[in-house]
Amino acid sequence: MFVIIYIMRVDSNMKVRIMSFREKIAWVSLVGIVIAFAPYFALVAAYRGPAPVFPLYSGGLLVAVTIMTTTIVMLGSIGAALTNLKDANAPADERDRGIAQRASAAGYAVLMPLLFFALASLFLGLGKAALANAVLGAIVIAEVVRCATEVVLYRKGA
Amino acid sequence: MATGMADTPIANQIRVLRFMAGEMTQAELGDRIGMTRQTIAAIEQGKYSPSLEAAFRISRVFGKPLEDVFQWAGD
Repeated sequence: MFVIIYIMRVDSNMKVRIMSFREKIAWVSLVGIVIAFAPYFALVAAYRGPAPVFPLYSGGLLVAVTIMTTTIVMLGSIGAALTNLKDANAPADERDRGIAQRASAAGYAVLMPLLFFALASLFLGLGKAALANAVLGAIVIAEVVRCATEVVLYRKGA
Repeated sequence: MATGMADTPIANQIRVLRFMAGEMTQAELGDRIGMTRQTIAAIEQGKYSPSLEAAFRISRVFGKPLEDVFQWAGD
C-alpha cells in the first residue's frame, strides 16, 4: 500500500514525474476499496451456511471491512500528505476540480443502473440482507469507477 | 509551439517564457497563479486547456499579452 505513496510515474518522454497529492489519494482510495471489498463480496457469495444467520454474518463482515477500508485510506492519506505537506495543504485547482467532476459523473452513471437492478432484485424474492448487499455492491462498484476514472485522468494529464 | 505531446488544439510558449523569466520553475509559476505544479506541467505539454481566467493569470505573470502565450493550433 505505502508503495503508492512514493510512486512516481514515468511520462511518455521517459521523464520521472512525482504524483500530485490528489492523484495519490485517488490511488489510495481505489486500492483501499478493492483490497477491502473484493474479499467481502467473495466471502458473502461463497456463504453456504443457514439462511437465518446470513444477515449477522454479512453484517459482521461489513463492519470489519468498513473499519479496514477506513484504516487503509486514512493511513494512506496521512502517508501521502507527509511526503509533501505543501502539496497536501494546497486547495484543489481548476484541473483537480474538473477531474473530480468528470470522475463523479462516471461513477454516477454506473451507480444509477446498478441501483435500479439491485432494487429490482426485490421482485426475485431475495432477502433483506441480499438486497442490502446488492445495493452495497452498486455503491462499491460506482466508487471504484469514480476512483479509477480519477486515476486515469490524472495519468493522462487531462 | 507547445512542448511535449499536445492533446488540445491550444499551443503555448510557457516553457520558453519560463526560461526567459530566469528559469522559473513550474512550481513557482503554479504558486503565483494558485495551481499545482502538475497542472502547469499538463498545460505546458498541451494536455490540459486552462480556463480563460487561468490563461490570463499566466500571461500576467510573464507580462505578455494572452496571444503571445497561447495560440490556437487546431484546424
